[in-house]
Amino acid sequence: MKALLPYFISIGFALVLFTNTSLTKWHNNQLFREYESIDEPIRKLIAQDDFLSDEKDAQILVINLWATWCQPCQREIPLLNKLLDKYEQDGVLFLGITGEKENEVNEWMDLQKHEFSYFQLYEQKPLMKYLFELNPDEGYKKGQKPQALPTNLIIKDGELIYYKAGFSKESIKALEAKLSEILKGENVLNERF
Amino acid sequence: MTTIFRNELNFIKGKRFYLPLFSLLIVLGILSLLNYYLASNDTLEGEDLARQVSTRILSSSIIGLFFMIWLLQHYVHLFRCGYYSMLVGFGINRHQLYSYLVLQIALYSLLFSTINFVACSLSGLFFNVWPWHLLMASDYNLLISMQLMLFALGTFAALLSSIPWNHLLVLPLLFYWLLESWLIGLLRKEHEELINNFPLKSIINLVGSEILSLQQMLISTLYIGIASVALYRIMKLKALI
Repeated sequence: MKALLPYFISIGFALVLFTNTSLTKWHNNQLFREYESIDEPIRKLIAQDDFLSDEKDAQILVINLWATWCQPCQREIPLLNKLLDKYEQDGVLFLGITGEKENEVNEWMDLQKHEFSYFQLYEQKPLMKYLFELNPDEGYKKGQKPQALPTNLIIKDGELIYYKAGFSKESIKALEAKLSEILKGENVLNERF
Repeated sequence: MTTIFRNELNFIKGKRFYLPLFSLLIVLGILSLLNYYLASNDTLEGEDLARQVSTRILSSSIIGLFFMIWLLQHYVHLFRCGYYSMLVGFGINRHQLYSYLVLQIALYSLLFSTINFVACSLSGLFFNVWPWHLLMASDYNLLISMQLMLFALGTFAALLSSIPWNHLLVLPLLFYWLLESWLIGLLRKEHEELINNFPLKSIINLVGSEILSLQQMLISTLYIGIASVALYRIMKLKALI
């Protein structure tokens, strides 16, 4: 029996490791239990904002997480402006969220070629952190998932439809494709009823 | 049992034990200062900064290297000076000797984590982060993962110290650590599944950012099992001498 001691130690190690991993996975899912729907913190902010409160009933949210120091984010601005022009009338709310202050962003904007056509929320580091945690890739521990900028999300009726970190022209095309797919689905539903 | 406890206290009082611990404190302090500086550039402060720094430090594998080297030099001294043979001479049997060794590894890993916490707390004072911020902000799952990694690396260190030529093994260990890291960097793009089977990588994954799959957990446990059995057999041989 005593000769099996190293094996018992290995089994004990495996049990602790397995329990800890299960607890980590459970902790990952706990984030969503605080809210009734995943877009609840965003809608609260929209309802409180003077300019955005009229848009609080928008069903589809296209969220862009960005920062002034992020060069790919700058390249994305005109492309998102084009999407806004195309889909704004379909009840889609385009929202840019950054952790920086409004005056800093405005100073930076004065030096840029392209301006935002879509609404912005400033100084929202906790909200950005929360939105990064919505990354559907379950393989990462909470708080350690890759937090790449820019990140684009589509949330419809409290459900995460699209999540993509990083910029490329293909990712913007994929975002547009997803958006038209969602809107087509809505149009089909409207026609039926 | 009392003899062993008294012996451990005598070790801790000795220069040979507390001087390396003091140098560890300095090294870990410098590492924490660096982490605080890098994290505070995101304009974080207070508990947010403490959370960011504690996540970085508890996910860091370099700490495991420091722990392993410290433990290796300590165990090499204990084996070479005949401490364990002396215990056998006093009547301790091989099972008790092995259990004592495992308990030492667990306690030293806790001691190392305590020194790490002290180093972080001292460094945090320069950034207005108090020790209770660190305590409240730490993720305890990460802490348990760190303890598991330290225990695993401690087992390997104890195994290496128990073999002949143990006094020459610190540099080869360092070379192996660097070599495996380099090889993993090389293979990462094309053979991502293969890299998780390397012994050191499978242990370092315990504190990595990815949640371990069942296969990865089994591979880590297998390496610990092999190291534990090998250590047990070597202690058995030494006990008979």
